[in-house]
Amino acid sequence: MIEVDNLSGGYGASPVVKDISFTVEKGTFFGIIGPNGCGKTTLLKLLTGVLPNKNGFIYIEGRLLESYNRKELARKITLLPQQPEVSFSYTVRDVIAMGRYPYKKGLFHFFDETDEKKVREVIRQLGLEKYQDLPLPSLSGGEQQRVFLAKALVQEPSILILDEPTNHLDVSFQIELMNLIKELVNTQKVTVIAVLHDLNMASLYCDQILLMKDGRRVSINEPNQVLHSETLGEVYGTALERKEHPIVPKPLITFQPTDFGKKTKWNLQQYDERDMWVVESNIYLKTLTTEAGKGINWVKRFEFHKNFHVGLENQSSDKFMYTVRREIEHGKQNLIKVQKDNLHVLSLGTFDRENVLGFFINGYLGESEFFQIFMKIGQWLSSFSSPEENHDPVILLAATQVNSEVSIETIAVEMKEALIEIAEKKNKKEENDENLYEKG
Amino acid sequence: MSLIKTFHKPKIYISYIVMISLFFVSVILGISVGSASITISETISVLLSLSKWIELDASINSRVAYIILDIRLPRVLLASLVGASLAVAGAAFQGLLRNPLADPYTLGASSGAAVGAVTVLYFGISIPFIGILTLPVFAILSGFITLITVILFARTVQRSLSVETIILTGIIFSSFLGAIISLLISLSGDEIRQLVNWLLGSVGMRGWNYVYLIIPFFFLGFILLLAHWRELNAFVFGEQSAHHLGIHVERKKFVILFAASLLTGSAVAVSGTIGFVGLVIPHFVRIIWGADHKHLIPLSALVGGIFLVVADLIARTIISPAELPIGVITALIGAPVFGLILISKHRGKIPK
Repeated sequence: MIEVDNLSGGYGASPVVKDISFTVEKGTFFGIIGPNGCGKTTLLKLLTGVLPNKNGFIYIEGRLLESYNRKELARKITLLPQQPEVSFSYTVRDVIAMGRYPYKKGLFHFFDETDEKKVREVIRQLGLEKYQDLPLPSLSGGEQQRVFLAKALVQEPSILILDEPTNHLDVSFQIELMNLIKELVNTQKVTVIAVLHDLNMASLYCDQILLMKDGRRVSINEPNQVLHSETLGEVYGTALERKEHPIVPKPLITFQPTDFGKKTKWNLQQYDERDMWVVESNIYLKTLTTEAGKGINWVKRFEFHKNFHVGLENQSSDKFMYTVRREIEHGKQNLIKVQKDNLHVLSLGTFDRENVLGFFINGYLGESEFFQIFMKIGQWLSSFSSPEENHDPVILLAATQVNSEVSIETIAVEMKEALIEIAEKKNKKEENDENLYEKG
Repeated sequence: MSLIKTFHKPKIYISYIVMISLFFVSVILGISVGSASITISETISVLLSLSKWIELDASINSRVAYIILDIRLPRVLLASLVGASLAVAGAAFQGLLRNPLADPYTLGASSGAAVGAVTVLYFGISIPFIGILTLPVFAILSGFITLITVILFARTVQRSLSVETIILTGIIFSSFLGAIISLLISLSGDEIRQLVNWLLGSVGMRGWNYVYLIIPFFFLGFILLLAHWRELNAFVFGEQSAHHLGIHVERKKFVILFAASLLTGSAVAVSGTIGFVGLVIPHFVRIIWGADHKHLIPLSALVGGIFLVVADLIARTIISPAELPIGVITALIGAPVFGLILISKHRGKIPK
């Protein structure tokens, strides 16, 4: 446990870290985020006693930081740095064994059973057995970082401080390292305090986040409370967008490049190929469908296959593929197209049964608006048809997301008109077909 | 795992046995070879007679015994002590400064010692009671004063005494002190040959006094550094990293610098400036036995001692009866070897 009380400190006369207070409970993954120069690294230096504090107090497990001697402190708290550059070559095992330093006394300290056991245990825990006699420089960046983590762990610290530990690492190593550290927090109740650059990493792994700006605390809470688009935008001085993670109850932070969302001329081509109908857009459309197993995707090409047996093997996430059902396989296919100012609608099915209803919208739909529209479509469809022919077509909504001046109301009105038009066209066709049938 | 450990241990013990044997071989060769030729068996029996239990062989005349005991032995011992001092100091500076190019000269301690010695020679200073020891005492003192000035200067530049600041300060001081030496040389008349010879370094004609002089400094510095092998290993990974291991960075850094300059200062005082030993030997040892300072320091001492005994042997025999300055030999051997080490190190890195 670590308690920071009105802490100020830094290098020169004016402190970099100003009046920060927080408490980190045992077994917590505590993240520190903030823009460059906000004092994150200085705060770490104060916490580890590298820099003396000007004002305030730091308590490590109830005792003032200053009251610890150097070795005592190293048994309580240690730091995993960004990858250090090493000019001489040591074996992995030698490097890890260095972590026993704070447990050694006297002029010539020699390794004993306890040291040996601990080193072996950590090597096994981090899966470094096969590397232990190799020279450190022969390992990849991710493996080297695992060695330095092992060195920190043989110090048996109750508090582990991380300074952007995943810098310069491949994404797989980043995830591996963070998972490893999270596991230490969960199983061994190690307290972790980490300066993280990557806001998503912070969101996904931290229990608590301290957001800093200009050496001061902006907020401190769980990721869901701290990571707000507006707060982050203000702190980092750039527009950031918050999204929810699909599985984990944590926010994700993203942004949009400045060139996106400029007015783009949208055009949609629809054509009939021998075995499919194709709708193709010149830009990606944000697409949500009620078809099972498909969520939100960015799609450019929509394929409606006429042949039931078509394989879906050449699927890709930027292509929407739909296979029409058996009943319309044999020449009874029915395609109705309607166009409005900001809208293309496509209805596909047999004359008595609708299979797919696709809306291609030129405008911006927020998440809630997608759902509003789905609900409206449901209401409209049930009001147009009698209860016995309740057949729930697959509904496809695709929006350009760029021309945001078109209001959602305008689009709703156009959609309703389009649905009425489709219903009329269908009725006409039915009559024609019946006439034909009677004549035949 | 345990297999590899048991495989590892005898290797390092064997290395020590081999290197200690080589050291004795080089000492015996160093004593035997020279303008007055002495057989190896004569050398061995004279050396054995130093222990009180073995009588000196009657067939060996007193002149030979005199050459061995009062001329060659002190010379060889001095060479080995100077070589060991410089190599150990180099290993410590390189580890502490995390700089493969650091050596006893980087801190300016050696230039400082040289200025002290040259001043004594130029002004003909002789302090009563210590007489012939005036020069070494001056050299050691001025080496220390330079070192302390360098550290204080670096401290005023940057309180945390970072590696870069120390090296830069060392370079500034070395250049400045080098200029002072050049100034004294260009002002001197008859003394010039003596000065230049001293600057090029020599372990010849120094006698037992110089051996007695360097011994306490050597053992003090050597034991201090050996006792700090863990700290030196930790410093290789950076000062912050050392701090997080629980090391009193500033205190340990000061002790290590002090011990290393003790070795440098006393070596320069008794033998002049002998280059490349401190630079090349630790690299050579690291290539064979690894970077762990537990073995790097004692093995550097052994290899440095052997190297300088052999270099001295070459220096006094190659253009016999005249003698080359030993600094010329160490530079002629050391510079190309260091170049090769540098190339192979960087080549080795590329295929990774």
